[in-house]
Amino acid sequence: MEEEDGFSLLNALANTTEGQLAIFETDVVRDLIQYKWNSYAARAHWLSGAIAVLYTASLALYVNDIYLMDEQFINGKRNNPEADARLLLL
Amino acid sequence: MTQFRVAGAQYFGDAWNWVDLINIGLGYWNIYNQLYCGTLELTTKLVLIALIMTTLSKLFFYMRIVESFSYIVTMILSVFRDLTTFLAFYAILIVMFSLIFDVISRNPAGEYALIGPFAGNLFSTLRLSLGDFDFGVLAETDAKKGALDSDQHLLYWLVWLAMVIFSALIFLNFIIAEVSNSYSKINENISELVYQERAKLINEAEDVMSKKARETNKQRFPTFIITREQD
Repeated sequence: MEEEDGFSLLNALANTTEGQLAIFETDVVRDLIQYKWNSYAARAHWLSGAIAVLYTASLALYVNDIYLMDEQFINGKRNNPEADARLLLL
Repeated sequence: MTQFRVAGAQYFGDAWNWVDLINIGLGYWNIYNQLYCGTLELTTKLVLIALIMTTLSKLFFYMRIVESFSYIVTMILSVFRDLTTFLAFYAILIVMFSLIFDVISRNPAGEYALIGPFAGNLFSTLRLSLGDFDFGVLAETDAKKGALDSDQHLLYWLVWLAMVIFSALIFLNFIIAEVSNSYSKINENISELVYQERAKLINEAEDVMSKKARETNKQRFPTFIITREQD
């Protein structure tokens, strides 16, 4: 697991080609991935994932608010609803 | 930012990092457009649509964290990769047949009135290839509006027949067969591919750690791991 010239074992595993996939059948590689995943990688990605879901939800909320709920028709023509700065900030 | 600071120029070698950068850039551009350009302007809509698309890509990325989603995301990405050649061939076929229809006549249907005759025939050919038949060209009877004579009607039907045989019967089935083949090929190696995806995610998590942290944190970077199997 030592790092040499900026390349680690994980780096090599992440960049395996289709013909080298057999390496992932070995117990030692699976155990290594499982260990690293459980000890820190999962937590880091879950946190980013939760932020991404929140971001998507606020985007959906914004689209619904501006493009559907606030839709205005003046003399039969669709008009620009005002942007919601509070939601944009979120 | 941390990832960029640690990885340097290598940061730009990963396609997912480009998605991140584009997503952030579009996010700020969208805020500017929404506040100062108007919510219904074309540019605002284009930027917002692009933002939603990149957000979807980001969600796909994060869905790989959950193992059951990881299977599906890996399959979708691999099938897209395998289908690139077929889709390019399909696009060429559609463009060439739409050129043939351009030669015969423009499509008079109302839904193409505002996008121009070339794009109109391109979309009507695409719809034709998917089995959505539209014979508005043949229904036109007014010669001043470009009605076809009987010989040209025959020509239209011959081209239509060739188009249906090539695209709807042969090519569409080719694509379905290729997707099915690609799916079963990936299914054979799915477990290895999912582990590879995990390795990529771990590698990315390690990218944001400094070299010093990687060398000193023995809990996260142990020299060896002992595993025990229980019956």
